[in-house]
Amino acid sequence: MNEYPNLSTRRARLWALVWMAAFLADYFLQFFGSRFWRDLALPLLGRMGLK
Amino acid sequence: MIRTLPVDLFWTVWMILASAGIGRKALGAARSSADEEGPDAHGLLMSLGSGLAILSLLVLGLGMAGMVSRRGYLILLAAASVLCSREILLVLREAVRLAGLSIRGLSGRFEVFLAAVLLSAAAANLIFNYSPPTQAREMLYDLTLPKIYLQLGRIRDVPDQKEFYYPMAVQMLYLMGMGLRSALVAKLLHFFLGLACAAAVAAVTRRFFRGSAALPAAVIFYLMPLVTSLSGTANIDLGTLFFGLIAFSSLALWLEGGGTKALALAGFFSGAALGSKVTGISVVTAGAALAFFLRSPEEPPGISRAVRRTAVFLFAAGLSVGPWLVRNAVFTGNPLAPFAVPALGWKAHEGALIELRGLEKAAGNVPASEILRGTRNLLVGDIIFGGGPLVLAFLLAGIYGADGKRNLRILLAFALANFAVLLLALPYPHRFYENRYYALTTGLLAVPAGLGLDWFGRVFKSKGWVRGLAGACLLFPCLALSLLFGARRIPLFLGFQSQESYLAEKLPFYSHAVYANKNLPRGSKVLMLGSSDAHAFYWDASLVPPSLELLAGRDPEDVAKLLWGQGITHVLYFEGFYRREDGALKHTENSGLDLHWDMPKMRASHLAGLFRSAGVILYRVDYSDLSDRVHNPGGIRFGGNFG
Repeated sequence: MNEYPNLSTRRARLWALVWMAAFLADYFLQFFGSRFWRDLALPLLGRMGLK
Repeated sequence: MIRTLPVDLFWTVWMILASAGIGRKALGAARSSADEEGPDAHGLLMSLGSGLAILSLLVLGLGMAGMVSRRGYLILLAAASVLCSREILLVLREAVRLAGLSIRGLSGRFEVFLAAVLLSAAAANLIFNYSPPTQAREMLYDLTLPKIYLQLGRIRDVPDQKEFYYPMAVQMLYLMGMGLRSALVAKLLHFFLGLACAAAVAAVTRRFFRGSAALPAAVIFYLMPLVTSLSGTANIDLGTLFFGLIAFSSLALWLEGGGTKALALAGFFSGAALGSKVTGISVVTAGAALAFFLRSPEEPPGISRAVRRTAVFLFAAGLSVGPWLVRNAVFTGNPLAPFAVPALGWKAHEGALIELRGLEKAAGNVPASEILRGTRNLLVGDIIFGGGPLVLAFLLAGIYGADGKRNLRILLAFALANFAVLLLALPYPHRFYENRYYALTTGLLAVPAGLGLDWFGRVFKSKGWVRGLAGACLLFPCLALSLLFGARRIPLFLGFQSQESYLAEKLPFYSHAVYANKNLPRGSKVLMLGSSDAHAFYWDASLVPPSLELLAGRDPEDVAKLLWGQGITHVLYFEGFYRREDGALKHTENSGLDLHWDMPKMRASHLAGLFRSAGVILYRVDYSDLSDRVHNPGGIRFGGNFG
């Protein structure tokens, strides 16, 4: 018996992978253009004398 | 700080244990389920949630009756501990057994890695949390109003801020913690609420879906930047989130056949979510909708049954949120203060009117590109206050892989209903840029995300890559953010930096508070012009926002009369927020705060500069030419805020 009925479909796995890749890509696109660098990382590096 | 941590932890843990004991007694679950089927995490969290809500209402009731004091809270805590001693011991025993089982149950390197990440984040968040309050909201009212109540020795109407009329279930626990010990206990309570939320996510995953996904779901949840950012503060959002999570859990239990008691508990916890934050209205709405449209397996269909279910749910919600409406009715005559209900003649607080005016103008011309940008911010996530990279990335995999499809549909329906209510109800720009309001939806989606990670690990022969990818995302940016926030406070935590220098470094207007506390007479009332982010928690004087009438005043003498009438002794002017345009001082961010004063003339006649720093000037109001001509009926007093 297949415990996961959806496992048998390669399509489900493919969609889940595409979805994951799309969201991760968009997240990191937003992340690396964000205020994380402006407000946190760069000032910190500056204070440590690394910038 | 590290020296005082054990004592503050002692008070915090005692309050939490007493709450869990009270909740357990109230739920009538005095017998340990551990003896029969092992420790019940779900039951422990229900006990904790019930107890926290009840304790909060007790503090409110006693405060309204005039009892706000350290001695009173000691008696309350001691009495609760004695009356619920058996339940507290059971809770403690079950919690210890549960922790032991969880540690022994770790199997495989990936689970050990996840547990290590979770513990590291908790340790870093604890250091982040254990620092003097510096977040805008906690300084404006979350900790400031309890401070005022402690000074007054009772809970009474303080009309300075519109926020003082919001429901304050979590702040009542802060009031007790501050009364017993300090504001740091209040902050620690919020930190522990974050851990309780993670436990609730794990318990929901284990109870309604799959045990092996509980740890991944809890780690994905707790490592969300949103949770990290909130864990370091005494904002109350993690309390609202905790009540929202256990409200869902109770609903799911009811739909499995848990009976009317589970439905009533779901209503009670939804009401507690609303009782701790106005945005909790989405939890009550979503829960009531589910109670109406869904039914447990043994219940026959029918509209009258649906109405009855919804009535039970809403009645139970009213038990936990109702006291806050009563408080407002007693103080102002308007149960829904600070908001207006014109049809019933219930007036708004002027602060709410000013904010709504600013929001209406901001919402006037929003281009489509801005809506797209805002939607993306909401979905993909703000970097500091968002859900992080994993929640949505593993969502579809979780939907494919979830075992209990009915439970998954219930979870998604509840999460999406909560999301939709907020999206429709919140004004722009809060709708797109206050991600923390949507924390319940994001938190619930961590459950399918955990299921998705678990599913990926099962369906691919080579599962190392997907676990490696998820692990990398957990380390960066999630854990990195947590470590960064913690590491920045290590000198303070270890005592190498003083609290004074920490506050001076973190707070741009802290020097104003220090100056004012040294030099302003007792009972001074300071008008904030341009911003309410003046770190009110650290001021001895009371800080008040402007009334509509004051903002609109033009002639210096008229303005001075208004200031006199409202008992204002000083003005804190945020110069940088204003630019002169069309004969008025336009606020750069909130048009509701546009000012019509003639500042040069005001400075020449009625404002004497006392202290200036970082573009913010503290003036003393000079009434010397006015005091002999204008009668001040009440001297320095509260008033005029409800218009």
